[in-house]
Amino acid sequence: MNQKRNRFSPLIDNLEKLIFINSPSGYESEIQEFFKEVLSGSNLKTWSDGRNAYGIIGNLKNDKPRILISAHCDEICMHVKSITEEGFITITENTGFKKVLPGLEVVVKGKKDIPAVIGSKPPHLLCAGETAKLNPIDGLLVDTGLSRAEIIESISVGDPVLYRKQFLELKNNRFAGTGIDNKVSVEILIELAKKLANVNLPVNVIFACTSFEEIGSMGASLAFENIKPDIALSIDTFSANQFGNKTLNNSEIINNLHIGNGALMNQEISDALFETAKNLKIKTNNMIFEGLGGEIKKYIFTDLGCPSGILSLPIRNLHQPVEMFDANMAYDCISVLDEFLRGVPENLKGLMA
Amino acid sequence: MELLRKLSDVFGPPGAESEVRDVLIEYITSKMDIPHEIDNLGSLYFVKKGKVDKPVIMLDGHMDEVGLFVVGHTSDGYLQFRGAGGLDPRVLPGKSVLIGKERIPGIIGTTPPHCELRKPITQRDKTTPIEGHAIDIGANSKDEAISIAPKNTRIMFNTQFEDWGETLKGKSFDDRLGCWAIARVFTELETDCTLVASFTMGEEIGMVGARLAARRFKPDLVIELEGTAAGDMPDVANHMVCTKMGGGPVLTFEDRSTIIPRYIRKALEETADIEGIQYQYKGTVTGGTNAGIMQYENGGTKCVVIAAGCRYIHAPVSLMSKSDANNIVKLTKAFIKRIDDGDVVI
Amino acid sequence: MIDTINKLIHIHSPSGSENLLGEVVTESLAPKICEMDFMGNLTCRVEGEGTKVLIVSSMDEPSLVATYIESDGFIRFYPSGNLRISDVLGRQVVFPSGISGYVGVENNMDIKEITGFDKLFIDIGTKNKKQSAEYVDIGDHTSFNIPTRAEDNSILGRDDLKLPIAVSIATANEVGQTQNNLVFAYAVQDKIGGRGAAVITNKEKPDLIINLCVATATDTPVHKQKGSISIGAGPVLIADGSDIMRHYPTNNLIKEIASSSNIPLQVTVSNGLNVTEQRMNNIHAGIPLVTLAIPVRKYGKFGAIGDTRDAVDTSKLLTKILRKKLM
Repeated sequence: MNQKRNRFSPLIDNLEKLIFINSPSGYESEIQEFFKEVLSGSNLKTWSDGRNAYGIIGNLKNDKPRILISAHCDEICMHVKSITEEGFITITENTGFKKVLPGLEVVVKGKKDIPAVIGSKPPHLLCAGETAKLNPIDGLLVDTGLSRAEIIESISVGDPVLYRKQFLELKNNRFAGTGIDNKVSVEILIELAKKLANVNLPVNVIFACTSFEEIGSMGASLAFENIKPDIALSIDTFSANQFGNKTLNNSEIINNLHIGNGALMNQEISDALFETAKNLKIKTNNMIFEGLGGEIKKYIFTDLGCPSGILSLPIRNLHQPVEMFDANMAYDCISVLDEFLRGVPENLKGLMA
Repeated sequence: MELLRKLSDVFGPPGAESEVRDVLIEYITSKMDIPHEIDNLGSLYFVKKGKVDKPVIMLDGHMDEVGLFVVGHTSDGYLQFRGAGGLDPRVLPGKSVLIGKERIPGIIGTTPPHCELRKPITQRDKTTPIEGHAIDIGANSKDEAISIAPKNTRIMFNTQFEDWGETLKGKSFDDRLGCWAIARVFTELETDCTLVASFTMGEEIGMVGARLAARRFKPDLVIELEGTAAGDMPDVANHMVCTKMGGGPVLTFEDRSTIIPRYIRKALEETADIEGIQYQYKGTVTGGTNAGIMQYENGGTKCVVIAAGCRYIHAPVSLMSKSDANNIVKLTKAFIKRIDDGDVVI
Repeated sequence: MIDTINKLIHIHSPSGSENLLGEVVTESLAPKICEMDFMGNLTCRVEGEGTKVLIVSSMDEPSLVATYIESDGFIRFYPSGNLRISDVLGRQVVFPSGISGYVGVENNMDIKEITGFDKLFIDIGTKNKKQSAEYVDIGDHTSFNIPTRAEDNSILGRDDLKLPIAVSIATANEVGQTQNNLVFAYAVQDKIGGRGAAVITNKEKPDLIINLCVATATDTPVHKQKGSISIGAGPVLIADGSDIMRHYPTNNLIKEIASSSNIPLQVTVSNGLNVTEQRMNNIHAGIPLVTLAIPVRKYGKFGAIGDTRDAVDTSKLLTKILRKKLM
């Protein structure tokens, strides 16, 4: 990480810090503390409600409309399923991804963080036909190098097992790392908040660093109940076209910001976001979002719901230890949101009544 | 039947129900002076306040129909699409469609029989999945296609409503028939119960409008009015005939999403007997309705389904019987009347 | 405990017709008052100040629903709950009227030709439609007739052996005044998608849910060595997994209480999707959940063998948990 960095430095430096904080679903307090610390450094009021951390431009006591912008800070993980007599650990796949596990470095988040590897039988020992098959999840053993007695002392069944973090700078301002989904969006929130901190906006903007997205977006539903927003925007990541996988709904990693559209999305918000991007000459991809999960669903369906929109960054290798994104896109996303929020009352007259 | 004609012919795939909404608003406000409400997702509601000690009854039907939407464009200007709602890809070849609210005509073609014969035998007579079809709007290039019908544009089948006497032909009887029946019951029935007419959006893509509707009005009883699948075709065994077209109102005892409380169903059967209306059961435990979502809301909501058997639903063209349509209105009115009179306690 | 189990285990409670079981539950909880809603869900309150805790157990079993009566008296049906053809073919079933029959198929039919439930029927030995209709109403749910036996250390019977309910009743009767506001709930229509549980949760809006259920024991001959879940080895805490927002502090509290009061506790993670828990978890602003299970060996869809000691221990543990201030 000692390569020279250009104009992306602040964003990337912060992102790197975020990435190296382990935050599986249910263990988000550390990363949320970091989020609050950075925001309060920019003169924003911050607080948490037990599940999410918030920062606000404005004040919840006035009667200006409220816009909630959220990014989830939890990341995928597996769980310890059992500890064998020999001192190996078996895991559940859960939100993890079995395909990438053989030969991977992981961290078991027990009483302390314990590094481990997931072994794979060397080719010398494989029988005919075995290479073609994926190991069953029970057959993938996590090896901590510790004895069973030592393991039992600090690890218990149910503890999270995460990919070991890495962060690499590739060519052309592209970066790869573990948990880019959705730390990059958290970083976008931070940068956006810093940019807008001293602007007098006609609305209250609440930045929420939410939890539990990967296992049902329970953070988003509590954020909705606590904030009661007039409009909610979710910032997330979405799979980009990549080698071996080109689908109609995806786009290229470099040149398209995904903007949600579809039967459940509020048309006025989508249109305003498209319009803003167009004025800034930022290319967009019409991401058709129909009956999918994610935080947006909670904003639409908790209580009586509110009009909602979604912005997504195209990411390659989603849910893998080497997720990859383009820093230009992160900046584009910040610009779109910045511009959108400054012009909100004109953009969305009908919704702000 | 003029209202049903209008409702059947308008554009209303999931997420683009505004034309259906407009027809309903126009009809109901022309009959009575009453404000309407539209929620965040676009569902439409009317409320007729009754006496405080009487139950709140919600008449619910969905405005959307099974349709298509654009997901991409080929380099030679075809539109690639997916189904919005459960669609059988076998019904697609050789149909014409209308794209977007501007109703730009388009066609879904398939390989001509002449060329089909040249294919190896193993490849003939296979269903093409939905991904294998494309819509031709006569565009020359990808750019032209994008400018005419961008991604996410909604598409409906090009079918005209026709009155064939006892039988009616048209599209989207699931659930414009329900909308029609609700509009009639709501405008014609005099009752002391509070009546809520709920026209929800997005039922075909996962009953999305239902929960907001139930939460908004906290009804004591939801009467779901539906155009449901009829199975009275020669190649269907007796016990698999879901419902019969022309067989009278369909009472559901159970479907994939809900079990209708038995005492309410029995009260409905009684009502039908009193009114001399022949009714039938939905003979298969298949499909689901908004009731499947609404039943969980407000600490449990009682729901009942009254439907009419329509042949060939979720396809470009379907048939239904006029007497069924009139009878579900009659039964619904009589049932609410009995609740109002205290004959039926819900 | 054994008496309660004995009272419950013989009762048929197919999804949608849980009333018979409901009566026994109400009786066993007396003099405490049970409320019943229109679906048949029961709730029993042990009121106190503080955290509202919902203790949920389910009353129903997978079943078949009668949909059509043939002119010669055979009854056609649909499965209610997650059933396969092999689960039901040849089984004896009982209708609410008390009449029993067999699930059959055409005599000359090869197993490969049985492609769906539409090929099967129930024969109750009647001659025609009219006679069948005397015993069977369209929409009736059948239950499966499987011998049951509850002795000191071994229980044998259907599905979940009604153990979660037995534990819940015993705990409700035992717990007394606590620092929490307790609601013991007995949910209907659970095996067809956790419907009763969702309605109760929606109504009660608890702060914490404790889901009482059974965990499949894996102590069969080959698996046994790997330190898996066994019957007779104490209650099971399902610590994580299956995309549920769990309440980790309560999980830890359970572990502490178990070790300090010498109650054996098995800890595991869940692999599969639990619809009931997801439904309850997702209501309102998201309600955190803890799963406490009783180990049961499962054979096929219906056969099950459990151990009374586990039920007793689970009840002991749960009573101790509920007496502590939660959350």
